[in-house]
Amino acid sequence: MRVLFTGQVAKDPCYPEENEDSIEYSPENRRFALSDGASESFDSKSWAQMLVRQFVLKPELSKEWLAELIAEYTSQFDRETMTWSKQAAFDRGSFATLLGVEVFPNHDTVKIISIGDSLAVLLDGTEFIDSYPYSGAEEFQQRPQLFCTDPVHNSFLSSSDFYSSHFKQWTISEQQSPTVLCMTDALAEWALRNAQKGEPSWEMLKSINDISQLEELVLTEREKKNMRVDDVSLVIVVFD
Amino acid sequence: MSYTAEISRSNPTAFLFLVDQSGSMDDKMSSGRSKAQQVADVLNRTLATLITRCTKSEGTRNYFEIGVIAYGGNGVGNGFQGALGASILHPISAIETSPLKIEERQKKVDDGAGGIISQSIKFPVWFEPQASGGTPMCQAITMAAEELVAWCDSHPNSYPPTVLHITDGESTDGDPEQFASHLRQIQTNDGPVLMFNLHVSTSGAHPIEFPSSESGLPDAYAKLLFRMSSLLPEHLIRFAQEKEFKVGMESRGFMFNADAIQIVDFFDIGTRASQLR
Repeated sequence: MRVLFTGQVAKDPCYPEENEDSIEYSPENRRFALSDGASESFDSKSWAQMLVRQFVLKPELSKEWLAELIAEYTSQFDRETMTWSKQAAFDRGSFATLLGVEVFPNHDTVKIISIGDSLAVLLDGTEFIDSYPYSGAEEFQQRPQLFCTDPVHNSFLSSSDFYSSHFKQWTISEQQSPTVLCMTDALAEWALRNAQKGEPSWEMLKSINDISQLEELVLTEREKKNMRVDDVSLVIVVFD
Repeated sequence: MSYTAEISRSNPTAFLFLVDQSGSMDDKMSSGRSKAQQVADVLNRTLATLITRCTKSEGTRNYFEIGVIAYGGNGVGNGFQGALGASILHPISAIETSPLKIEERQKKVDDGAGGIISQSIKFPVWFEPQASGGTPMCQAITMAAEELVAWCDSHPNSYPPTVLHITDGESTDGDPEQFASHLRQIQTNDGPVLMFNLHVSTSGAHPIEFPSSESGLPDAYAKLLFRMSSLLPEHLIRFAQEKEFKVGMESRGFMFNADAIQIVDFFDIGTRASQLR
């Protein structure tokens, strides 16, 4: 497993420091993760960072796994000294996706966990094989489930179909030149729409090896109104 | 395509509330509270919710500009008082810092470990209930139009303003239809101003929510408010459907005989402008 590229383009060029996406990878653990913090959140940037950091250290999701993170998030703030609006926003919570990828070389498999609408794509060379959790651009119109710092919104983690509805496994030995692309929703929606139009962008996305290439692509497609204005993250991983 | 502009600090959108404060707003609803009290309460909650949606750990971002025009026995004027009384539309951070008062209330919340605890929350109040005199609706819509012409001129690329009009009675200064039509012709490059009308009622009649034609409406007044209302844009149709309203491409932003629950839903749906960034 080799991480060929990770890069991010902020939604607002005037405020690059406000990018709320987060990427983390651990070559020794053969895991990487991407999280998209929701715009309407108190502090989704730090929540997204915590989710990806926790996943690459401990990929077994559970109620306790999440409770530990929420406790850490909450301990950063003193609710009682906040203004009324910060208190209300803090109570409303912070929301973020989690797309976690774990590689099992002994079994030639890649396990994906997905909460929300960040997308993983499996390519063979530059040929599209599969994507998860969505396969069509229209699916991004849904309101996705997200991990929240308010436990009330995380009840789906305890449901009996959580694993069947949030996990996917790909057998990479079936591909000659397997590549996994992970991306946040604006880029993912754009890429799936292009594929549906018969104009796939996979080869071009896979060829990105410098942040300036990603920036040029995103800014050009935003300008043409082909891509929603949102934080964009891309991770490219190959399996030699 | 209209109503697709992303809302940002450099391209905010505006919400302008037109609130009927005529004498009949003092009538009691089934909840035992007057229509004026119910509307003031929901308006205060809506302002707090809009501010909360814009507030991050570092502060409140100016994604929205907000105004309230009130009309009734005292004529037509600014619904805000104090520091906010000098102009109609304000950046949302200015609204955040200038409530008339902040009440302390208790709320039951999940403690995250299977229990329920009581938590103190702060409830800001900007708008007090008032009810007297006639219903100068045409003057109020004219004032709204003057504000929004200037606003759209200075925000040409923004998601267009949304006017949320709350009334319980018929206009006493003429036929408002033409005024509403002119208001809905004001536009930014992202589309014309949206006008949504809410009729609040003390009658026990069944409410009519987001109708798609005037044929099923009970009287000429309901039909007039229907014609004064904009079609719901696509993203608001989706949002209304998520709230289990039966809406389609022809549905208009109008509720007739709305009760307390519908008032909350009307404000919630009407203020769901497109994506914030």
